[in-house]
Amino acid sequence: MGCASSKQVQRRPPGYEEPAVLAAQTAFTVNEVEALRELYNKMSHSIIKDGLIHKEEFQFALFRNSRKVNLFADRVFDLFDLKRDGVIEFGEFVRSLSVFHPKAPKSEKTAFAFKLYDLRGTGYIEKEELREMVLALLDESDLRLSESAVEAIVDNTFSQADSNGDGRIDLEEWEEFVKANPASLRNMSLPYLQDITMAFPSFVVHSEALD
Amino acid sequence: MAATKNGSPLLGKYELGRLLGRGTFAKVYHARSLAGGEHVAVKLGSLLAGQPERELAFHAPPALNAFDIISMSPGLDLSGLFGDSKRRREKRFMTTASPEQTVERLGQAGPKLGYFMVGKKGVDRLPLGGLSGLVAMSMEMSEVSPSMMLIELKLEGGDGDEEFGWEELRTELGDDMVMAWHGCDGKDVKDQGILL
Repeated sequence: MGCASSKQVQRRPPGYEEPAVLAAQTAFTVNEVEALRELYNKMSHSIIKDGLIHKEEFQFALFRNSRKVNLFADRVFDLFDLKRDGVIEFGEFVRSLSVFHPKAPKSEKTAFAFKLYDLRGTGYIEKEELREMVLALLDESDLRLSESAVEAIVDNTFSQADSNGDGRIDLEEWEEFVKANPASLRNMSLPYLQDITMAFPSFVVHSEALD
Repeated sequence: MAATKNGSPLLGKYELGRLLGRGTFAKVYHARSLAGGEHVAVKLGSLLAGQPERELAFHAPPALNAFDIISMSPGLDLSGLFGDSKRRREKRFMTTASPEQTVERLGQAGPKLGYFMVGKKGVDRLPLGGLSGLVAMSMEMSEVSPSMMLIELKLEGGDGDEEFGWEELRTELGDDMVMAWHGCDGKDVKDQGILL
């Protein structure tokens, strides 16, 4: 009796968390977490079949091209990878995606976007970072604007956002900016997340979870 | 414009009949579906339909801020993770043409490609399920620099299953108007960047 080994525990992938726990701590229901698991399984086995999402698998899911280097996708990946161990575990996946749920609080989305744009993680969005991001976007779109046009755009935005004029945007200034320019958060909500149970029907329906 | 010149079927699907009425931005025609013969009302939009030029006096398109530009990156569009990418229903391009010229050409291309333009407010009043065979398209203009605008086109309503012919639209708009066509992977963008 005492030797009965529970094989199930060994088969749990690294970073496994109970769906109910994840549902309680995020904007998702248990069934939605189950549906996310389907998506996660697909992504985490697409190239390196270890049940963890590596950078290439993330890039592949986003661009259908595992080798596509993109500054912004890198930032998103880094923020999803809460433990900073180079892979996105299921728990990290669900918790991070929760921010994008339409029902997630605006403050969470605002904070996430701020961290996204704070490229060097200094706690501020510096002007060079803003310029770097604009140039990165133009570069990835094969668009070119003259240096002076880029400067004009960056200067304008910065003077709008940097209200205390210290040359960098802090979180509070960002929050004010977002209030005045709500479209700045448009990428932070994925309406699709509300319908995810339809896209990834899980064969396991939790009996206690009747949504 | 709306009525086909030589009586050939509209979009290959409808035989246009008489004009039933006209609104601010569109005309409504009686039509007969060639497939089933049923009688329908077809609303075709042309922003210049019967309106004098002054109706198109726009407020200057709002200036884009840097964060608006940044958020155009597909790297920030996680809807791609779910395969249902917004990108199929949205397109952006830059143009040095005037707002009026842009609107006019978009309006002219509509009947050929199966869409009609709606203003942002018109989106709320779309019939459920759209109009058979026609898709509503909304447009937003922003100023990138004094001589260049960014046009964002979005398909509204419809069933989202049919692939819209963005490439055909690009051809219709013409190379003189479309300076840079924003593709997801940069593949369909002209080789020379536009230097202002």
